[in-house]
Amino acid sequence: MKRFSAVLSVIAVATLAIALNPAPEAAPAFSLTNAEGKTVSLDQFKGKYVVLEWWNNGCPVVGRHYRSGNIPKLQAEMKAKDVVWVSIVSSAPGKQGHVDTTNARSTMEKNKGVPSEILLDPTGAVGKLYEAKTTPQMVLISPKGELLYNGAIDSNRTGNQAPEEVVNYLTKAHEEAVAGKPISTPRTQPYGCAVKYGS
Amino acid sequence: MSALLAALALLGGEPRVTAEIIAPVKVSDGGPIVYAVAVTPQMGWHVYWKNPGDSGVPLSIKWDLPAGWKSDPLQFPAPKKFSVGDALNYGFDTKVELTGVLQPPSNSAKGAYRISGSLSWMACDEEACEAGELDIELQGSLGTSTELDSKADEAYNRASRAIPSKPAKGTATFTKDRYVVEVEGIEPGGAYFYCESEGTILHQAEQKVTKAGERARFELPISPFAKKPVERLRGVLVTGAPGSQAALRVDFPVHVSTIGTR
Repeated sequence: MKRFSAVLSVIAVATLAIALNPAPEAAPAFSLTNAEGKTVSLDQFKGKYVVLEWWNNGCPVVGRHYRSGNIPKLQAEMKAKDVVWVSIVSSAPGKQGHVDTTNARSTMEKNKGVPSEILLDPTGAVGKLYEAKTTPQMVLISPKGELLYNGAIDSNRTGNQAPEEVVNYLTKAHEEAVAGKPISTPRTQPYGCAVKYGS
Repeated sequence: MSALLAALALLGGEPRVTAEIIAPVKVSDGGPIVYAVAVTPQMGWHVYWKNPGDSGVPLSIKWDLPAGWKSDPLQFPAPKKFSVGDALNYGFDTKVELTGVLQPPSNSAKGAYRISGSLSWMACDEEACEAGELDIELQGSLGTSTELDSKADEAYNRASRAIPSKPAKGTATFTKDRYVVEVEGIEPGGAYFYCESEGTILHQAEQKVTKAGERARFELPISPFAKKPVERLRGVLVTGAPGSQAALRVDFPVHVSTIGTR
């Protein structure tokens, strides 16, 4: 009887784990105008890892990651590993962080950012499609178009963590995927400013 | 017009948040140094609780402590809820007072101390967020009773009375996809549970509170970001009608049930 109930609870825990950590789903397709005014669609990056970064240049939390050089460094490192880094702006016109083709790239350059693409999502449709709640928020998509990670950039929610304690969930997911391992943390609660969607 | 005012404020006008330190309140012989901080957001702006909810950054304090000293976590009063689109935040849109304690090492030598730190926050309204910080310096002398500043003492006592301290009595069970929390001696009407850790419960979900005998029963769906149920459910339970609210501290061990909901 004891063994029976132990088996039952193992099954229950396993079911729970599956319910809470489902297999990767397909990353929703989208196309948006980039900072240079051209249309860019997600499927043109098939065959490469893609990072989506929700960006609001006025958000203090985003500012912390740019001023410290953290995000620019990640952008350069990931691009060097043949990853496509896409910064997406879902701020509505008139709201904090909104940029258009006239100032998106220059604003990013002022922040020393070097993403592969800056995509403009003024209606917020793509942000909502990916459940983007905050800036920054990071998504990792596999070369096959699977959603591997969606959540916080790292564990340093208040900015007070010691550098050696900080876990970067994005690079961790990428390293695990490249090594053929399952993603240990496919979702985390993002932190930062609420995405400034229009109403 | 309001856009113009907002623009003026951005050009170095009124600060979004003002903050002050209330300290030192009292220092007994070699004992802990207690302090309070008061943070006041401008009308329309809010700052965040220790669990800010779906976005935001908690109010936090960082001390540059001498060797052997410890800083206890900031103590918060019960927060309020703010809806932004389909997201929910926990925080404060009026003056909030937090308390804290610095513990000198037990063998610390008597004499003067001077400790610096900084209180930092992010404040947001519907349109934008701004960060700010206040540099703080505490100084005094260990081993001699510091003269009480009656104003600081009064402010500290008021702040400390507002920190929920009365423990709630009850149980927490995790079943399938939700926590079921039962609390003794409270009425379900107007009751709300503020979970103090992020990524634990689904903040946006409406909290279903029903009467279960002498208890109020809360159903709290687990956060989609949770890998597994937490071992202890901690937070603040606010009960009663606005204006006559009471807050209880919740710290319940979570029993994981392997039987489905009913």
